Amino acid sequence: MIEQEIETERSEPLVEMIGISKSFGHVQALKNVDFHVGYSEVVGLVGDNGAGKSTLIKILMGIHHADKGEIYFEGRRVAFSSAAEARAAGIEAVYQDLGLVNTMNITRNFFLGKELVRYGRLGVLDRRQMDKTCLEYLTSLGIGIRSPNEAVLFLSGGERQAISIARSMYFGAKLLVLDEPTAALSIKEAQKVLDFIVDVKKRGLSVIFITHNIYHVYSVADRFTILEKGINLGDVPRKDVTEEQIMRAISTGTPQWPTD
Amino acid sequence: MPDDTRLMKRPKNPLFFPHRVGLPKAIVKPEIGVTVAFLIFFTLFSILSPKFFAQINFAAMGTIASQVGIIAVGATMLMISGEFDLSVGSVFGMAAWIFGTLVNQGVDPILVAIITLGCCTLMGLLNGMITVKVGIPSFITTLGTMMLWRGMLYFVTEGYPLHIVVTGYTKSVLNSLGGYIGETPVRVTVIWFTITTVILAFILTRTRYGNWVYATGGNLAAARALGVNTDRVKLINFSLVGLLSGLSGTVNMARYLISQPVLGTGFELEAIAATVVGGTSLFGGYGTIIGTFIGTFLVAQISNGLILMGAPPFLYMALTGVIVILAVIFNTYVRKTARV
Amino acid sequence: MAEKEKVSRRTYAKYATGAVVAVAAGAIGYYAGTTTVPPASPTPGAVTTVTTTATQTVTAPVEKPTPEFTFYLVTHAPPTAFFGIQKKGWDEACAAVNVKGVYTGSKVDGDVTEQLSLLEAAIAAEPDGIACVIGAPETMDEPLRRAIKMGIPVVDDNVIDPRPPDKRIPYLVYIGENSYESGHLQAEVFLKIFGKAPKRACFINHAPMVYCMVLRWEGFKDALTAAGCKTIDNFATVYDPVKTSEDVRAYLTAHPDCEYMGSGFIEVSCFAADVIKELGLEGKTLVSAIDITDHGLQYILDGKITNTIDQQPYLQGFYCALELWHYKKYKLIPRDIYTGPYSVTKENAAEIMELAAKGYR
Repeated sequence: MIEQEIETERSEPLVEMIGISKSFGHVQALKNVDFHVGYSEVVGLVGDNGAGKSTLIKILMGIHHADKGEIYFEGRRVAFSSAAEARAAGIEAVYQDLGLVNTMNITRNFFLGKELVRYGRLGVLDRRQMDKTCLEYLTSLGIGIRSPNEAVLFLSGGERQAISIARSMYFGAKLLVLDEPTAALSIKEAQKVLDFIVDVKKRGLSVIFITHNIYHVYSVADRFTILEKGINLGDVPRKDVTEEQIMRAISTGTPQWPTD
Repeated sequence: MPDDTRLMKRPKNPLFFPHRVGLPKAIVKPEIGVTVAFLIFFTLFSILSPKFFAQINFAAMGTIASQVGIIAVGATMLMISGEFDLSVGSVFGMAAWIFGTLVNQGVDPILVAIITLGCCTLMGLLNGMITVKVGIPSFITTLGTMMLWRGMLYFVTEGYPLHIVVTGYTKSVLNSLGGYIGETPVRVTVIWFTITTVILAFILTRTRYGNWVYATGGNLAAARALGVNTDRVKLINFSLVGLLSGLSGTVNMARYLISQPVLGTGFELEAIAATVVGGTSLFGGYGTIIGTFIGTFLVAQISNGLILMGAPPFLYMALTGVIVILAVIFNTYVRKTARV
Repeated sequence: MAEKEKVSRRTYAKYATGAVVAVAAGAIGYYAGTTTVPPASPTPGAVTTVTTTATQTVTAPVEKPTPEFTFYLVTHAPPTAFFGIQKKGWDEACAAVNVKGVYTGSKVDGDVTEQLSLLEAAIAAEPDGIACVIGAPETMDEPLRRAIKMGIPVVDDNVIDPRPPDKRIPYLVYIGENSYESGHLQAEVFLKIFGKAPKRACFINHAPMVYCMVLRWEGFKDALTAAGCKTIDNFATVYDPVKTSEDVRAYLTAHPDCEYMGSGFIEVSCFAADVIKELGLEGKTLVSAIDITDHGLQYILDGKITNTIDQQPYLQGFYCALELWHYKKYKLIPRDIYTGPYSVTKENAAEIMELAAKGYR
């Protein structure tokens, strides 16, 4: 695991997407969109359905290829051609099903795909080490689980979300893309996840928070990017805008704050 | 690796309520249902029929259980990874025919055994390739190959059985593969079954490949997203089932000494029945090889016990059906509510 | 850490459970071999019934005595139609001599390998006698020899072991039809009805795994060849309404000049007769059969089937139980008992039908 150092203000952003355009057949999904995410920053990527949020993210993750535009990651020009490449660079996405296998326990899920093994190629699981590491790491992040052998099925929604994020962190993610992380959670659980996201930010990761729930994202985000029908309506820091203004911007399609 | 000093003590204000550590974990394993059922029937039959509790009877039970059992444990592994194989019975029949034909041609029986196993593995791989690469549901694919191989078997034999010509050397090879162990009534096939079970159970629960199998069946998209090569996992499992069908067919030749086109009919359903009775979920991602091992013995025991009690033969089929349904209900309940 | 200690304790518990299970299994296996089950001793009430000869029906004693022996009948089919009649004979003989008779048979008609499993289970039950349909001699060879060595008397039911006396399974006696004669008589009676040798004849083999079909085919072929028939075919199929009909249809479409079809089972001949009617060959192609069912007898009365050969399965089941009992009680062994062939044509079909309805024929 790469030690995440707490970064203070840095001049260049972690992710910079410039002039991205993408069409699917006749439909123009994105038109000349600029988007950037700084170090240790939580950016709320919001917009109505069909605005192009998921397309933008898929282009960043390498699942789609942009027709026009450039992407810079950690200051270098990149063009990922698959999700695996994006993950190798440090961009991890946590989707709604959380990428957890319900029937397995926490340890197996945590190390899925990157299990710790003994005897090399035979691939015998080093269960004791895996259990120990998993428990220690989750505990260090403040996620209190009873035992790493508990099936993921029996955990609350908030805990599962946290474990999924923790897994990405453990394996060296620099940027997390969270798609509706608080949907389907109770109010208490949602708050726990939001607190956790703030904690994640303090440890040096950046987060792109995609959601329809403006109240949730408002409490944790540093900045908002609003997309509408493929265009970037505006980039605005939290201090310059209120929740109502954002929501009205989305529903009317025009920015409600002074733009420069 | 994180700094050890940081991790030794719990943070003062954890973000989540601390769970009560030290609560005893309910060790409700998936095999519990079938084990209890096995013990109940064992006791029941021992009381009802005095001839049941005898070495020779247990040996006979073992022989019958091993026939389908060797295949069933492979089918379990495949089912955990989310796929079915309905063609195992036909592959079994083909294995017997390939073995018999080659041995009758005078080919060295050990070489014949290897060739048979190879052919059957390829048949399994074919199932896998069609399912994984073309994307047809395995149920349909293996339904098709089941009919394909069965049809081929009827075609080449024209319906007639094939008698195996057994001379001295061939006989000794056959006996070492599937004959009796010394003077005991126990057959070597039971050893094959046990070894296969132990190996597969180990692979499933204690290696990373096993973790991939669970993940492929439990949440295919998540497994793929995390870098597990789910296609390779499925292909390997399909080939494994083919191999084990061939193995069972080969080692049981010592008993049959005949290859008939109807051989193996119904094995696929028996294998699946033993698998679900043992605690494996039909939907994948959850299962136990040991459970299947006990499940095949449970089914063999019922058939055996009913014969000893002199019950009408149809009762066996009906009772097995009832037990399968009850077992699935119970196992589903265990799976869903096993909690601290 | 507390967690670590708990984990290792649990592991110890797992190993301990495993060890206990292994020891228990070993102990059961060991002790199972050494338990001896005392042989069932007849109650005083049974002695009186035992002295009567089996051909007289015995009035049931007031208290039902415990069976003196247990015999197993192992066949390759479920107890329907043909084997159901055998079972009736078997059951009635067993009741008459106060014996517990158990019937077991494969689920799929003719499945010799499943029968093998049933036979092994029956032998493991260490009964007082086994009657087995030796449909596949090499397959049944080893288990039956083992049973005989264990001291269990074995009689061969329904299908003879064709190998010479020094090579064949040393069963006590064969009770069943003379398969060669059955096939021969089937064709003979047909030839008498038909009047001349057919241009082309065919034998439908619905149970190719069972050896008696080979003998029947030989008899069939020889009778026809002696009469001057030049072309005699056979093909294998299964006993299944759809499949058999398809195979017959395929054959007749390929060889419409076939004038005579014989089979090993009357229901198969019924399917063939239906197909012949469908193809419009009624009258041009005739069918004969072996065995009896109500349905089949009706076909004979209607003229769709010319004749059949009854191997009298009731007698087979009956004598199997009886001869096992004779041997167990008095060491009596007759020579092979041939229960058939018995020819049934339109003339005597009606009277047989009554008895068939009762399950005796």
